[in-house]
Amino acid sequence: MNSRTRFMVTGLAAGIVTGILGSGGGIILVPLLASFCKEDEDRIFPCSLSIMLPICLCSLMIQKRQVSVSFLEALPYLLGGLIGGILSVIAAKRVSPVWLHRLFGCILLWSGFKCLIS
Amino acid sequence: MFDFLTVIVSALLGILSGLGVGGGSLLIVWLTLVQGAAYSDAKFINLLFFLPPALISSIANLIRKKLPIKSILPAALAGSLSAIAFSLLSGGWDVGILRKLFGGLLLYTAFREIRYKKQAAK
Repeated sequence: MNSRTRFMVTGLAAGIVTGILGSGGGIILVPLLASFCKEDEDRIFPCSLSIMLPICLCSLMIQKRQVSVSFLEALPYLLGGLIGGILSVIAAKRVSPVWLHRLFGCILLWSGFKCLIS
Repeated sequence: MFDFLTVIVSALLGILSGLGVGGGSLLIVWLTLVQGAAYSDAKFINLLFFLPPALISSIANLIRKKLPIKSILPAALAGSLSAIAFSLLSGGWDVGILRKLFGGLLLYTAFREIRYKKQAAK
């Protein structure tokens, strides 16, 4: 299987998980990019974010019809996300990929238990 | 009233999302358990919240030449199409069992990630 096909399969899996559960696509992407696509470790998290961006946008357009959230209600979250996004660009220069993986592992541990007991 | 606590919590989780380590799953917990939002509304806000940090980080990573565009494009395209298809298909599905299976996969991946070691130089 060539590299392009591996990336396609990886994106497909992330889209399926996001489409069904509404979240978790990035959680699937990181280990697949590392072990299935053999992507360089300092590119795994950047790749995951960029692949998830259009996936979330598409999922959002479909789910918009099923919810009653107004733009004003979502505004504080968008503003916080914007501030956090800017700060993450600064933080990304200081955090090593190994520690990102470990932090990611801790969040997965929490999310995994939450999925099992919900 | 404009909720500054929400902005602060979102900003902290936005840092995690911008780094690509999944702040969204924690935001869903905040929304459902603390704010009392319905799960469907929480999922929607989570998807919306993810866009600014992901866009800013992607632009920064593009400038830093950390994005292999030729590889990312097919993944993004395949992912977008499958997200649309499964968002439409799964409207009436009971996702309880799938969520538990996904939880098991998350725990397996969590232990692998926590024990992650630096890759050997290629």
